[in-house]
Amino acid sequence: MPNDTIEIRLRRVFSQVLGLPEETVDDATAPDNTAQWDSLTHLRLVMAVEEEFGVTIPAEQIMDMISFKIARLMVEEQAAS
Amino acid sequence: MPVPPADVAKLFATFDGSSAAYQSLSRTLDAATAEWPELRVAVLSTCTAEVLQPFLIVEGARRGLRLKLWFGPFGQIEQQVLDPQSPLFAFKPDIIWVFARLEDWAERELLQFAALEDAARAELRDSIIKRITAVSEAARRNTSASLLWCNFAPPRLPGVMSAPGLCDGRSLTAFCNALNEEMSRAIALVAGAWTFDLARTISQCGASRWTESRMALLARIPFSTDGAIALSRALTRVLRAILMPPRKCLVLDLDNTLWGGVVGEVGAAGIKLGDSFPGNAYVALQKAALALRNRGVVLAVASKNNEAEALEALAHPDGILRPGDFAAMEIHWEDKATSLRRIASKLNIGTDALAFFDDSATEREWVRAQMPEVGVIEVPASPADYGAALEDSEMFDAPLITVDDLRRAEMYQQQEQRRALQQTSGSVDDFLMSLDLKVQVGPVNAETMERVAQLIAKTNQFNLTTRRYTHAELSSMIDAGAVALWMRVTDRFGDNGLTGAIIALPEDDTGLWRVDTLVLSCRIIGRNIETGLLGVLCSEIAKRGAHTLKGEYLPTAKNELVKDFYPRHKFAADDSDGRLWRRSLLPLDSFTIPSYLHLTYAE
Repeated sequence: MPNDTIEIRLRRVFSQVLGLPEETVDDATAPDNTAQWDSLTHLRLVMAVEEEFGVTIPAEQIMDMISFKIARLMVEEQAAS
Repeated sequence: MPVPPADVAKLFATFDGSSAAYQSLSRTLDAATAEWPELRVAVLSTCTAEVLQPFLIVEGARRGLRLKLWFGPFGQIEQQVLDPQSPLFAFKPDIIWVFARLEDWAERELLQFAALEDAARAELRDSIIKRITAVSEAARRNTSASLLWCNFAPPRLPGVMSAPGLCDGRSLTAFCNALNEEMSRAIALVAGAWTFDLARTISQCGASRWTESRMALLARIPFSTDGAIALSRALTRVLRAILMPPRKCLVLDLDNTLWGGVVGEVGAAGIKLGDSFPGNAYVALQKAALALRNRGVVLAVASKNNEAEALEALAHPDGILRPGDFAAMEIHWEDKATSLRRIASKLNIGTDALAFFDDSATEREWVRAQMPEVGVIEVPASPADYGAALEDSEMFDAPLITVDDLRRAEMYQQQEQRRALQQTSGSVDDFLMSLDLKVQVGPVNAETMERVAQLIAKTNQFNLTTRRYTHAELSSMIDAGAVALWMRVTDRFGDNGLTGAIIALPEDDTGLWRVDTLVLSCRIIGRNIETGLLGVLCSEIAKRGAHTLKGEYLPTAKNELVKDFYPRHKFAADDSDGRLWRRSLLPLDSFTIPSYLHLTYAE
């Protein structure tokens, strides 16, 4: 599983935290179109993403992670640096 | 790690412990544990605690608990507890967990903490204790739920913790320690209230790992993911200890468990036991077992060995445990399930009161398959980890330790001596006469309440109705007019401790009473002591105007033993299936109390 791409791993994390089938999670998944994604779940997503990839999302950016796509870009950026 | 019940164990087999896995497993468990009884836990806190939900659900299920959680709005402890109509009480909690932080309750005082004089510190401490007492008493008025209070961890406040007072006993940590000591005393005075050692939980997790400044600042969440997991484990561990009886007996294997090597191959002189590794790891496990024995856990041996060789190894100069420390020893070549059954029957306890520690995975699997009720401890590959595995199994957790617990191991050994005497005496009555039985009975009060509640919770065999009551429920029954009596028994071999209780309630005001609960510890059955206890109860309720007594026998898988208790005491059947019984108390002296019982009543 560590060989899976960032996108696959991230989709698994979103699916587990949000309680959605993996195939329904894509770049467009966001609080606006996902009932389960409330403010508490948002923090759970941040914690789970950080844990999965061993990254730290700066406090200033935590509230900006408002879609799967943004989360993916944040993780990819940290993985590249 | 505790081993989850078999029906959910398979869900834990693929659980990787990541926070995402906690979220998804908590949902799966909701359906998988639907048949389990629900434990309703209300959380009142001065910070955001909702994020704990999935962690608590998963850690609870690991310990056999199905938690239904309700989180109060943060910072509303008094508002919820003082108002009988509040959402807290509408939730009908079984447990109220109160998590108040010093940072939130004494923010202003903490900022000037270093400058506070002793008098001001004492005043701060008193005001916090008063607040705790007021909340506890209000909760007690409005609910019989148990209260679980977090104690205080030293706040990590930049600028406050540092230099002054660090070395002179006036530190914030010293203040918290003194506060916590007083807090547990104040909480002990409230029926059904307990202290949860949050300070210890945080120090075991590591105070710097415990918090996460971004979550604290963005959402008032005082703990990190690691902290949430550590807290959920500690809290569910305590809930389990409050609700479920601990295992009574630790059954140990010998070769490669209590010492390194196989004594049958290397001889007593060749086993590994001593100051250097790995001998010191086995010594550490022996010490851990002795510590358990010293707090009331009975020790036993189940080993496939030649008995003479095994006993020689138990006399090894570097060993800690000696043959006399074990209440039962099964050393032979028969299978271990048979050994475990014999140990339980010798000690007169259920096989579900046994925990089993054996380095062999094959033996563990055999016992698990033959006797699923036995607590099989997962033993790690290296003896270096044995001690931790024993502790982390949580098998012997008890929320508090009574005086009787401390003497239990000794009492089981006295029982062995009694059995030896029985074999040399003639008739049973001669034997009972020679025991010099002294039976003391008295009304249940604050001093004896805890032990009585524990006895009612733990007794399965000599238990007529198997009704379980919390400390708080017992108090309210007594307040409502129930007569509740405890019983202690001593004999020529020693004090058996508080080993029986009976509770009767008036059915109406015409003199009709009913025995609600009657329990006797199995270590004193077979001496007709119950007749004495029933006799004292009858004369006590007769003083309150009782003339007829009803009895109930509610059959369970374990209480067949007392099926004929009421007919034996001249109660007439009140139904056709042997459950309801009734007898007149007039004349009172129609009870024959055996002459070998010396009964006294303590007002």
